[in-house]
Amino acid sequence: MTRIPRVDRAAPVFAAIVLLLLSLLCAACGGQASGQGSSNSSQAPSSTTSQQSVQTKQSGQQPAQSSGGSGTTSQMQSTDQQVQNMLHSLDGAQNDVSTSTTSSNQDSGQP
Amino acid sequence: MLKSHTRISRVLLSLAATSVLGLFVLFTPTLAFAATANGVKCDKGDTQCFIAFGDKAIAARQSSLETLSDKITAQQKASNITGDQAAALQADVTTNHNDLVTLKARLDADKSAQAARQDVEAIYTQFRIYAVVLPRDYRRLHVDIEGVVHGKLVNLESKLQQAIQHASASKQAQLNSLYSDYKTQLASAEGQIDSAQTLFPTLTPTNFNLNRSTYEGVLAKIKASESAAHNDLHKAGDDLHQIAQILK
Repeated sequence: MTRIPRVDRAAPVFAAIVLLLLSLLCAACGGQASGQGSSNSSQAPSSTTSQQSVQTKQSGQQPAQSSGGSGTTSQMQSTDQQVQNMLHSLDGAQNDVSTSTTSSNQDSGQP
Repeated sequence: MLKSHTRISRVLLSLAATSVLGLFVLFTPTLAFAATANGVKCDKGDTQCFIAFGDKAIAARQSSLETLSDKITAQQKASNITGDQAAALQADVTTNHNDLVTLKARLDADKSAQAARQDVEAIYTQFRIYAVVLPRDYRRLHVDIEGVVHGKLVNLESKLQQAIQHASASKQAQLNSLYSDYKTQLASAEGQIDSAQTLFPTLTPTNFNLNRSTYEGVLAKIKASESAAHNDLHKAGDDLHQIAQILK
């Protein structure tokens, strides 16, 4: 019977330990990544809100920017901006409908 | 030769074992989560298990109702819905919240597993917060916003007409075409919004439980109307935007 030197016998064990450590590292990275994903998704409404606030600020600045034009033109630009903001809110509300519909199957988990 | 073959076999075996171990480590949290979230099984006589499960389910629903309430408040503050519309939606949130509080008190006081199980079942069959209440109320909030947006766009009609009349002759044809489409889209949206609003009272947990086909049919009609109105309002908004750009 051929005798395997000690170093050769240790190599597979060493490789196994290295791979196990790598697997643990991967698992930790995967957990962090998915955690970040859910955090992003939960922050989505606030990002919408900040977008809205930016747009609201823009709409507030609109008349000043077009002060060179006639009053009607300036008013029209401002009105247009307000309407676009409202349509943006409407899109947000539609997204909420989709989310609530997706979660509707949670009512089927009785013990 | 035999020595080298044995070494390769050992390395491969170690690799296989490590991979299996690695996969186990990787998926253990997922499996554990699935077990707690969906696979809760209470023994027939385990009263505390049913109470704990029910309390958790009630807390999740209360939290979701709170989120809805916050969104209603935000839309009202932004003047995207009227005070009356907000009050009606908040009243439904409050009713469900209070009923869940009552149910939780009853559940926590249950002395038998059978009573606790019945109370847990009520969360699903009686309240239907996730299946009926939240989707319906979010939909109603969306339709309410559609109604307010529609009203504001209709109020702009005379202003737009006036602005178009004062535009240069070379732009009149294009502006009038856009204005005509603007009015068409608003007329279409109005019909869709009215249609959706009349159908909401049918979406109740009772109809969900006992008249499912009626419930599903009405829900499909509301979805269609709501979506059509949404698109109509966006088209009207695009028309308005183009008019504003031409008048710049």
